[in-house]
Amino acid sequence: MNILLLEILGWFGYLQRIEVRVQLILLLLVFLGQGPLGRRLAPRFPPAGQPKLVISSLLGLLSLALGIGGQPYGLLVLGLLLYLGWLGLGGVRLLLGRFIQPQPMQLLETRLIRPAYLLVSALLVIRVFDNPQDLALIPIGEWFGSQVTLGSFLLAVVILYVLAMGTGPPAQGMAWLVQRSVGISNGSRRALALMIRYAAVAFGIVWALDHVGFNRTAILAVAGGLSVGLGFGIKEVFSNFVSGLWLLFEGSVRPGEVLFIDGDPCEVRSLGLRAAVLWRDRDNAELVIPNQTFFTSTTVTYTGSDTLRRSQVLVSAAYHHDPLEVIDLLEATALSQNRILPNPAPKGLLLRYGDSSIDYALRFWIANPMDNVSICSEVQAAIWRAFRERDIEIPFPQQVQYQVEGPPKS
Amino acid sequence: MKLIAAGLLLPLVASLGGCQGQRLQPMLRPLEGTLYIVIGVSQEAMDTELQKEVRERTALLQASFRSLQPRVRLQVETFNEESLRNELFVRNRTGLSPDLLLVNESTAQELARERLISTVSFPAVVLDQLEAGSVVRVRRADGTLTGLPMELQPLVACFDQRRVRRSPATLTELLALSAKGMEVGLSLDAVNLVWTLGPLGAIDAVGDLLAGAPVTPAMRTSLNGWLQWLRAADLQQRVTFYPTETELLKELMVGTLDWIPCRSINITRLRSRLGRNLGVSPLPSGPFGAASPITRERVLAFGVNSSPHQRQLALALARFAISPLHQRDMVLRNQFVLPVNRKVAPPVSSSSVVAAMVEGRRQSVQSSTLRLVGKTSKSQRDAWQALLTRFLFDDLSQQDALNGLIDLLDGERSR
Repeated sequence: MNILLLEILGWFGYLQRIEVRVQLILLLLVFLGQGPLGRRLAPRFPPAGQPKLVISSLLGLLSLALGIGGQPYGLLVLGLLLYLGWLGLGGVRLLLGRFIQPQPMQLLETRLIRPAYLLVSALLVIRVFDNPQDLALIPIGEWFGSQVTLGSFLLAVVILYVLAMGTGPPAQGMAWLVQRSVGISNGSRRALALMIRYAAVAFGIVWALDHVGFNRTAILAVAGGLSVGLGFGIKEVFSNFVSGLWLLFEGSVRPGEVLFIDGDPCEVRSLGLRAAVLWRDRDNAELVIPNQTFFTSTTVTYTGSDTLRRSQVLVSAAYHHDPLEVIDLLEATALSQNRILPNPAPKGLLLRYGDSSIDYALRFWIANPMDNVSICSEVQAAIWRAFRERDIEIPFPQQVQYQVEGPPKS
Repeated sequence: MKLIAAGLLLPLVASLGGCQGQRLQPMLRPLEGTLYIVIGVSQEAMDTELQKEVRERTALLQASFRSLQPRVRLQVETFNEESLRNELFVRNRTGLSPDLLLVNESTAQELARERLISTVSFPAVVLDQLEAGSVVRVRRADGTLTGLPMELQPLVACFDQRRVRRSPATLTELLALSAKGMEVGLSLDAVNLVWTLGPLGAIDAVGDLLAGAPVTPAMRTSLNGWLQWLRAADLQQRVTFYPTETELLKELMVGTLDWIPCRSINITRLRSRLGRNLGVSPLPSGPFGAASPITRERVLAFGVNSSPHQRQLALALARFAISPLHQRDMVLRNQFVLPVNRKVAPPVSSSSVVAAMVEGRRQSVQSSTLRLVGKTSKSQRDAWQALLTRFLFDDLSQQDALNGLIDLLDGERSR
């Protein structure tokens, strides 16, 4: 590690050279001075108000001037190229945006494209000061019985990062292929994608440890000791992780499933290492629920074996209407609704004789559990119209209050 | 944007602080600062172990030099010597070229031709200390030098004494011992195989062809004899040809091979693995004479972007590197190189390894052909290697290989 620090500190020695200082000062002036310069010149020369144009032009012109003067100009050109590359990422975003949805695109950009660009830029900058291949061979310590070099360590970290962040789309693609060939459900496809991703990351970790050259026996010994400590220290995290894996294999809480949480149907959006994210239709809220919760408590799902849900609405009719007529009307009304499944057929039921009305229930089946509330609303509105057309009265309790005189005054 | 600015500002402020400090120094202040040194190595040899060796060697130089100039720090980088040209092409334009480069003499010549390094002058009193031949080779037509010769790395035979009690003295003995169980490794690389030309009588033919002489039946006969020996060696069960010297070293260290030709600088690594079991001796001779190995001459070349102060520092370090003090130190501290300073006599009588190195050096100076082979470019050496590989894999008949070899040598001359 000391060698690495000395190596990095050594780069500052290049500042002994006037040519290097000149280039760095010019870079500094361009990046810091373009703002005030642009503001001053913009009223007379509008393009000067565009920082991107000003920086690129100034760096280009200064490089040219130094080159013509026979002076080194490579640092300015490097600065220009890196700046243009950074601006070019906007074009990449626009291009990919045509094929990728905004949210995945944003993740791809922030987690993969821009970090990758920064990494490449850093390597390019290092390359002019030092030899990255040479730096990569610098030992940074002896871990688990083997000497770890900077290069192998960083490569392992980068590969792991890319696997963790970038395996989503390929895993989804593979799961999609499996779905097309085997015919699994959408929920299973999502679960399969997640499992492929976890498997890739797991293999990546094993590969990274192997690549870095860790002694496997030592790792096992340390892992054994650590697991006891971690088991006490952050057992909740492990519990949630293991619960998440179990739930994936079990298939009860997979992305796309609909669960009942506090009386509301919620769709599982993702099942992470620690928690599941569910979307609640009622208020467009996202619920982050630790995986362990599903593992230890009862979970109501409408998408376990199929996605059908039996729903019902309650309605009352006056005593003087024939119940059979009311039930027929309720069932006919339900069948007239598009989003109610004809099979299993809707069923009207007389529930009980109430104080002021006969209470009925209309039970019916719907395809999408998440649509329950809106379908119930539609059905109740249709019942109201049907009752009005057939002059069926929906009674409501009436109360007549009489004022009774009090007891005679003594 | 602010981050970039801050990143640039910090080192600048630091450097300005340094400038103020310098102004306070008296005119005759001791030299101080960082000196950037690039050490050229072959690409396939670059690994942590080599880097460690290079750093240790430089640390030794730095430690000695610091006794004179205590405020000097050496920043060392290793680079693939073959790609040094491209590297310098980029770095010279950024103002970040190294101050010194320790490279092969042929590489220094090539870099100087393309003006990627600065040529330098040293007073006669400095150059008179060095071997005359080495100085002649780095001197240009205008009297300047492409670099300052620093050390010599002869080719010797390295073997595992647990399996080979005595290194073969002749090529016939080499094949005989191989037939009895000694695992022999040979490199197909031109520079590392050319030692077999002398014992097999082909050295003059190669030299004449490279010098532009017309092909004669005698040349064809001698080259044919050399190819025949290579084929005979390849047919031996325990003789294996490898593309590079690095592979030979690795195989010797793990015990797959028992005997290899090796560059003296690699003895450090071999000894760290084989310890006292490593044997070193001169390469075998043959019916036509002694071995004809190429001794690698390493020179200190100078970068083009050094500040006047850094150039002063680089010149001082170069002078120190060839001083009897450091040259003797190099030999005595088992760096397994030979000195270029004539005043330093290698301890031949006390060390068989040094004796073998001196003998390797002696063999190499006997033929001017070796210099011509040593100066060939990488593409030419690759073509040589490809031709021999095809020949040894029976993809080319002996006649076709001979014609190809003559064309190749003839072509190198016409270049």
